[in-house]
Amino acid sequence: MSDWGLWAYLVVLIGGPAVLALLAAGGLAVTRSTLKVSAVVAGFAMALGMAALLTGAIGRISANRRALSAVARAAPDDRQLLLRSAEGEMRLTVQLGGALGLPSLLGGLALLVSASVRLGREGGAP
Amino acid sequence: MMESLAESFAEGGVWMYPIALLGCAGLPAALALFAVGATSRKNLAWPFGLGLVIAGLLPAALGYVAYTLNWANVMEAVAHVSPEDRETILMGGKSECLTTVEAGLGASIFPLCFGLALLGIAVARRGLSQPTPTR
Repeated sequence: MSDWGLWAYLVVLIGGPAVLALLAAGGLAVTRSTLKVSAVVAGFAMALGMAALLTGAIGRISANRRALSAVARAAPDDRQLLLRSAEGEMRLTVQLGGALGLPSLLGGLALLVSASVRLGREGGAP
Repeated sequence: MMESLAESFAEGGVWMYPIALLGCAGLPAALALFAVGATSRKNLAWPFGLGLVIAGLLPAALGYVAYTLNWANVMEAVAHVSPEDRETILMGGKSECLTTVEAGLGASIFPLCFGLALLGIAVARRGLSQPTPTR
């Protein structure tokens, strides 16, 4: 748990609802009457997924910056150790962002395209 | 807070100003366009959504361009220093260069997210392939 920084919690806070929104959109897309609601929820899942991805990337860069500025001030012998200790936080943040954000973004996009095609073919839900 | 903001501006250089400007304009613009696009009777959700997504990518791209140019400056500066100082300057320089990427991504979040959400609303209103009704 020592790798869990502020950014990692933020990614989970944003990415968790993104995955839930994607599941909800997928569930709503089953019936024709809720197709429009599904499209809206899929849009929100995409938005939250993108936010989780960007937060993960920002967290990684932030951890990298902190580590590099600490390394620049450290003695040459301690540099590798400092870099290695920051590597865990960097990896965790970006992995969390990818694991929660990418499925929401791509799944939301797929649901949105499918809803769009179905709405276009059926002339819109009643 | 203000100190770290000033530090970020000092580290990122002149590129931080357009990024900050886009970030400051991005949030109210995204909120306004989302509200107008989601509630308007005309089909404004599509153009506003796409516009927000494209505008959201702008600060991120600007941050990356700034990073590339700042990194080139660091490499140029490092060419004239003694080899024992080289690594220290490279580490510090990279840390400072990454400031613009971080700021650019931060400025991109709101327009991109509001734009994507607006695209969902646009699809819900009218399917992609549904023909526009004519009278």
